[in-house]
Amino acid sequence: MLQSVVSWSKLDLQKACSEHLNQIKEVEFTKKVLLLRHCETSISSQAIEYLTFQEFIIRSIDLHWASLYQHLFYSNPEVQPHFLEQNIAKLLLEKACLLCPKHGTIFENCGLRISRAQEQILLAADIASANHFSSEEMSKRLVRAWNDEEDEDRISMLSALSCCATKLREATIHSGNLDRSTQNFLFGQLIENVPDFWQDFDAIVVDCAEESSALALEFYRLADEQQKSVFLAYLIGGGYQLESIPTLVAEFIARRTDFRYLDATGISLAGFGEILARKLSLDFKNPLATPDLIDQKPPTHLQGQSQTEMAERMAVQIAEILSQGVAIEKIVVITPRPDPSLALVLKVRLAKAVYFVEEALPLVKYPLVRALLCALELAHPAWNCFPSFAEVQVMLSVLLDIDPVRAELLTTDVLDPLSRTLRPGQATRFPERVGFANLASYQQLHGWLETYQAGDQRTIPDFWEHLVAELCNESFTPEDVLLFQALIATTQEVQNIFPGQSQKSFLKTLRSGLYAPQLPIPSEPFLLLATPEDFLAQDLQVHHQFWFDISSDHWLKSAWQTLYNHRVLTPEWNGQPFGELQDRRFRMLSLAKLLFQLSCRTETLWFVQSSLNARGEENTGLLAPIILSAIAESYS
Amino acid sequence: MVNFQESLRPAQRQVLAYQGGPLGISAVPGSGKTFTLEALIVELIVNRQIPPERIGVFTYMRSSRANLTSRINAQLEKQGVVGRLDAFTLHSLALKILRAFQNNDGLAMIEGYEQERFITRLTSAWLRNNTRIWEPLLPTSGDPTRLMRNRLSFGRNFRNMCRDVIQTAKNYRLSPEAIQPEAESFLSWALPIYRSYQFELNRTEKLDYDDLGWLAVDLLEKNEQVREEVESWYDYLLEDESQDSSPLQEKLLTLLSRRTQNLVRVGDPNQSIMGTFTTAEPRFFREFCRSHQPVTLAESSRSAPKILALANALVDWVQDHPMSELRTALVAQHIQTATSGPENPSNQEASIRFKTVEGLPEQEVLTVAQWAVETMTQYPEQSCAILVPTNDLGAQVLQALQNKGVRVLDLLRSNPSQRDFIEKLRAIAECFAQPASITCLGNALVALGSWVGLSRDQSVRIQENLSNIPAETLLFPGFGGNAALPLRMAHRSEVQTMLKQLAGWLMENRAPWNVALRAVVEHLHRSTTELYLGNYVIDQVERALVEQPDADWQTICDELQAILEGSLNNLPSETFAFAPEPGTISVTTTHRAKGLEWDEVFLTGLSAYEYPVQREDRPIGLYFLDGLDMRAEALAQLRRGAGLRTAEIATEQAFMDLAAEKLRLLYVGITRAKCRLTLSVATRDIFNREQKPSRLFWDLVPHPTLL
Repeated sequence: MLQSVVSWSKLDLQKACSEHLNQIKEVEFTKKVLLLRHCETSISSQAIEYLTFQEFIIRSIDLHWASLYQHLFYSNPEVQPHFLEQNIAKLLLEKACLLCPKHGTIFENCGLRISRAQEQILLAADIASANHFSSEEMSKRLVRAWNDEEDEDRISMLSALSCCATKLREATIHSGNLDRSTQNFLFGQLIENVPDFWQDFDAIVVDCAEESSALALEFYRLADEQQKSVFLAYLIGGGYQLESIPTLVAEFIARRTDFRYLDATGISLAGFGEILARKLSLDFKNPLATPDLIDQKPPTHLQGQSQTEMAERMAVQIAEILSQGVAIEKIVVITPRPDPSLALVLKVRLAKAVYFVEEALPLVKYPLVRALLCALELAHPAWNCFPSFAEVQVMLSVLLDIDPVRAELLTTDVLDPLSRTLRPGQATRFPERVGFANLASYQQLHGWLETYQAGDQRTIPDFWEHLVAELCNESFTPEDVLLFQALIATTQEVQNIFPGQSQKSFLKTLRSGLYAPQLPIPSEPFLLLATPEDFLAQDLQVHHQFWFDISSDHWLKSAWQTLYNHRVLTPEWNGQPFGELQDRRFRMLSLAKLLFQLSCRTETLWFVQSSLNARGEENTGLLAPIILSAIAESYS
Repeated sequence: MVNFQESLRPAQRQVLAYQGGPLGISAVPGSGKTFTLEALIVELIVNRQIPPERIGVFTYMRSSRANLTSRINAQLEKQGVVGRLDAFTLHSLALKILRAFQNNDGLAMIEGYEQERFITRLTSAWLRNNTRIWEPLLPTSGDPTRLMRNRLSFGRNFRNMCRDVIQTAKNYRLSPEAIQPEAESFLSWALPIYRSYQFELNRTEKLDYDDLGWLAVDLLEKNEQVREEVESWYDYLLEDESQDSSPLQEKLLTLLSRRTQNLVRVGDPNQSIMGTFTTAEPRFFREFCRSHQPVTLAESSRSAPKILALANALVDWVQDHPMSELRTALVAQHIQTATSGPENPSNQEASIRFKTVEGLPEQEVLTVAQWAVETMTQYPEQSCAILVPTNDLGAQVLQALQNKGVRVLDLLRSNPSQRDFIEKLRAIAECFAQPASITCLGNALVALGSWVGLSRDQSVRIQENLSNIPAETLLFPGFGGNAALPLRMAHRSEVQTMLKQLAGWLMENRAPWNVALRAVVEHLHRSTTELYLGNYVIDQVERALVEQPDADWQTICDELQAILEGSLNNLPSETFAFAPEPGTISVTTTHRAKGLEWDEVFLTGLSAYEYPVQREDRPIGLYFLDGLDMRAEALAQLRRGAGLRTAEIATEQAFMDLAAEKLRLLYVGITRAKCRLTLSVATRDIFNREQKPSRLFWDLVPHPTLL
């Protein structure tokens, strides 16, 4: 049985899911209920624990690997499945395409660095597979959608994407190292061909159903055929993920489910949000009523010249709100992109923790990682990878907890540039300057390395774990521990995937930019700085929202990924060439939905506008006048 | 309802009566051109109910854009108008178009210093690999110094030529593939540089400013639907400083105004001073005015009649220029004194002086600085400016003024106060790179000195006092105590504070470098501008080093140094609004003075070289290339390839263009002064050779005064 609820209120939808779950449990406590959602959350404190759809895919493949393998290859599994993060999958793609004659020059002039081109190929494969398109179909769609038939270079490149995706698929399936696109593909096979799969659960409750892809829709349909109870919660104004097909999901709900609308409870600015959304896009639809704005305070507009100046004014405003007793968790600053400079200004002016979801940093950007790499290189002279003076200095400072000045003095004396080794501590010319305690630590390291070189070689993760346990543990902070664990995990993963890779090659891989994990959320109360999508994914409801900076162009996010337009890889594409105007229409609708939903999750709105962005470039966004016009209309 | 009518002159009223269609406004300096434009905009918005976002305003300089929008929006707010006006440069308009219809993330701009570095690298490689082509052109000489000078001179000229060829080609939308140079011509040398430059921009996912306009125009021409949509953005288009319009800007304006034809262009052909080093072409504005009967704002209330008379004398002098080709350098348009509205300053308060200063140009500017200080003492409620020919001389003036403790407004492109902040960051980063170096530590302490309230001299003395003490005992003394400073050292507590702060930063170096450097900015900044600058610089270094995630502190220092040696596109001095204040002395180049005014102006450097009248006053080109100017010749060939008319002898034309522009520059310089004007020249040039004043120096005034 397919049931669904539709609302623009996230809280009410969550309540409905929770009530439905309780109803199922009341009827039959032992029923296995699968709780799914399509977005990851890290901050919200929901009572129920959901699996993300991708986690569910991974779990299912893992459970039914043998049957799946049997179906695909008519034999028992020769490998075990291993689920890759995308930045590791990039390595696999690189290797798979390395010897392909079509690779190399075809992406040379595409306007991207090769690593970014690889990321986009992976993403294209992911979106296509989430919507049930094969690699061949992927390229066909992209070529058909390209607006210029005479652009042979572009057409060739788009065609080559299929080849890359196919090579990747071959590499992943046979090795068992599964990237997301292969995971999606296998899940599609699983739900159609492995009957045992359907015994894992009796009912499904899906939150964020609007984020579903075609694969997910197919799953719901088949679940219904298998007599499973399916309950979908659909948020009006949702559907932000690249593979989402919210319009088709809405049609599915309308035609195939027993659905009801939920009346919204709670205070919000949904009324203003609706007016704004309709000004942005005529395609925006909301079948439900929104509350009157009569008793609500109009949004406040702050305007100035530079972004830094406006960030400071905003901080003053936030400080005033805090002084009125509002908890900091009830305030959020929405920015179109992660902005470390804004975070710095807020942190300085408010003297409070500021948390934002940063863009991932390469592991090798952290001194600790470089220190560990340096130790590895010194321990293995046969690899011919010798660290620089600066790196040895960092290693001594970070691993042995020696201050940087003495670390430099020590490095000057102990690093032998000719033999490219470390001399013993006695080589120090001015031991009193370096400090005898530091010398002792250094000697310990030196001895350790010598002993290691004389003995059996270890795996890289093993080497590091022993090094840290025996020499460094006490100097590690909690952040260092997290980073170290991430490094070990990444190393193990890469080495599992490429067992034959040389150590030197691995070091090069690590130095080229494998990513570090997100920083942990602060333990103390913090001000959240988030993009609209990140904020909405957290299911939070706040009292005050600041939209910073409304004249920035980055609010209007294009569907273009430089190489292609991702909407073309979904069944919502109408088959016509996807030019600038179609992209513009999509962008405006996406923005309309985002801003509508943001309005639904706050009681007060502040708009901050500056003429110049953080780099001093003119802001050329189209949003600001539309917002001002919506304010005038809403509160006249 | 806003009523300006009473305060307007007849020509200004004529502008305000504008009902639509194309309108050219030719405005002499101080005629209230910007005021009139603003009045017209407010009239359209407030009285005729045109929403502000339906009006497109284009300016040339970003700082004038900021001034204009802040003034108009203040008025709109007072009038209770919903919506705000925004103004654009060509580049920001192009960016707006591209961002509205293409992927935002693919539009990162290359910075000035990166571009310079990149072109230098490419041209150096070409010179190294093609010695057989260019070395035979240099004269043989037994004097190695002379030989080296010739080589450097050739290299510099070659680099400038390539840079200008790239810029011009892009303004004419010529890709490297579309250019067919003659074999073995200067243009054929520049072409591989252009090609490699474009390839590298592509590879690093960057654009330069000329690409922006090109891409935007291409998009509008090729996609009818996009063009229709963009045409629908604006009902009225207003362009300020139209005399500086470039081919791309011209194209863009034509496309945007096609629907309504409501285009108002304001400019002064006699103030076209950008053409020799940008793609600005005054011919567009002149042709526009010829095609549509312009309104001329000929009355000016800015300057005393004496000053206006001098400007008019220059206009008249040009009509009888010794070189007939230069007689059209200035349009025969006199500035008239105001007959209504604000009155001109009285001639009784006005003066014009011509002064010759013995010695080098540095001596001249120091002398002028002293005069400016005396002026400020005499007239503390007035404003004053020193206009210099180059940024280097400007920096010397600033130094001299700062030593005298006067209030200074620094309007130079290489704004020293901005440089100072970036230099502080660099000095601290260098200390992180070499923490054991007492020299680097000393430099970092000097950088931090103002943070704890020390003057530069005091900080330098501290640096000297500490120069023999090991860095580790200062930063990380044993047992966590205070650093052991010399007994009789002044400012001990400030020094301890700085050392503790540095040590703290050094120990925080477990974080990635950008996080560590942001922490430094957090502490160092004393104003919003510095906070902005710090973040901007860090963001730029991150972008520049994106392919080197394991960059160490020395690499970061090197990048900061490159930024210091070059330029960033969006320094506060380029983008923020500013205005001369009473009681301050502004220092700027004559070029950057355009649009501004002061009670007293010192216009320096009136040498024959800076303001040539005859060919021999200023050699163009390289003597060993038969006096040919590589740049001029290459650009002429490029323009011929684009189907444009060019002079028979490009180098000669280049001299004419330069001389004409200098005449207009002098006109701009003179008309900055409201009451008092001093024109000066040094008797020696920068090489300590005898220097002639420009003939204009003698011809404009019958009895010049010698110092």
